Amino acid sequence: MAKQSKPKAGGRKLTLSLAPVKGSITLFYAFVNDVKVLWDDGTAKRSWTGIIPDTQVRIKVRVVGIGAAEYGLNIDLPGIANDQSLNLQLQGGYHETEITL
Amino acid sequence: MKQKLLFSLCCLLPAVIWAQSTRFEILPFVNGTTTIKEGQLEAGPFFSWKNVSAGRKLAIQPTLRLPLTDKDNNLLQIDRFTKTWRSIVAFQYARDFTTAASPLITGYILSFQGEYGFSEFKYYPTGKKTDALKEGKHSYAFELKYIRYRNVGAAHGKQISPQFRLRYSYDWEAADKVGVVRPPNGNGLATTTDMVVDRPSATPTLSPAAALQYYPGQGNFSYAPALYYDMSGKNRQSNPFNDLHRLRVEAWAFFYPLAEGNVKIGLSPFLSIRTKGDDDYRTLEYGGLITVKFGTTFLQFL
Repeated sequence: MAKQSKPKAGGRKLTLSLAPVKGSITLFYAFVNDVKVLWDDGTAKRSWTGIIPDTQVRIKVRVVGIGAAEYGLNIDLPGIANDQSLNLQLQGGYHETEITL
Repeated sequence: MKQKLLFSLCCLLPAVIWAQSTRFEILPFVNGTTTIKEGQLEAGPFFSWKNVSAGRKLAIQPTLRLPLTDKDNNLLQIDRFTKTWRSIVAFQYARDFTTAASPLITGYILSFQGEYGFSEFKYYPTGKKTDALKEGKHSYAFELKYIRYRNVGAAHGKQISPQFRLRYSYDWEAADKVGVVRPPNGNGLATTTDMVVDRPSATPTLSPAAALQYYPGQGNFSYAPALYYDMSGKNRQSNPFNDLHRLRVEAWAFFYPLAEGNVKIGLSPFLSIRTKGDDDYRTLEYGGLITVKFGTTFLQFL
């Protein structure tokens, strides 16, 4: 198991949002370099805003729900990736995705 | 004696229940919440503190519950005649052990709720309007709930959530109105007037419940067998063990449509068995329950 550490201060501001789209979402999780930054139930849009280091950052999103429910992932990294949105679908009640910034 | 326990009407008739709720930010860490449910308005602040990286959350929610004066227009009138209200304080502590590296998604939610209310009851023991008596009574309840969740964090992984609840309540209720025969008028016609002639009654109840929520990892259905044991005591006593006991078994199947708003539709047969005391129902009762819930999740059940 990777040791968790807080994201190091840097020059990039990141906003990460997860929102239910269709079906039933139970839990939203988001990790930045293995540090849990978002943990909430899936009944509404959940966001995290923080400063991430200039070096490569790994974002991991884990979503639990029922069946093929859909959720929206929004990444806002001003100056680099403004408002990147994805609609993703669970498979048998679970989905995870990793993005490197 | 009429038993007004949760299991009586609720389990003998199919029920369709939904609520309207909203939450809005007042200050950082403080939200406002309002809910309209079953003819009652609940409103109050919602305080929350969280350390997400450590997987800890604490929430405190004091609310005031008042009955709607006009249910059709969601209208609440507060004035000197408002004598029925209830204050509620709920604490919720959540712990989550999920990490980025481990496949398991696991944690628990522990909540405690205390309720207090005051009601003024008016009744006419002699059947005359001029002989009204008033009694102010204090009702209260406590509820403890534990929800555990453990999922295999993988596509088509099984999800389970054992849940436990213990609730004690001491509720005062007005007696039913009865027809009081008036003296005949000048034409010899006798009429009746509906009046409350008996004192209010209080029933202590203790109801432990356990359920196991299960999602098999495929399809849009989850399942939840649930067991309730409802105990009630004699009128105006605080002991909840010395009168009626009923065991209720339910087997829920929830359907989650691919629609907006986190909707779930539940259907369950039930079996209610009287194990002690007497009531207006048969020793063994059975029937069905239906529920439609909006803005809810797999974990919200008991």
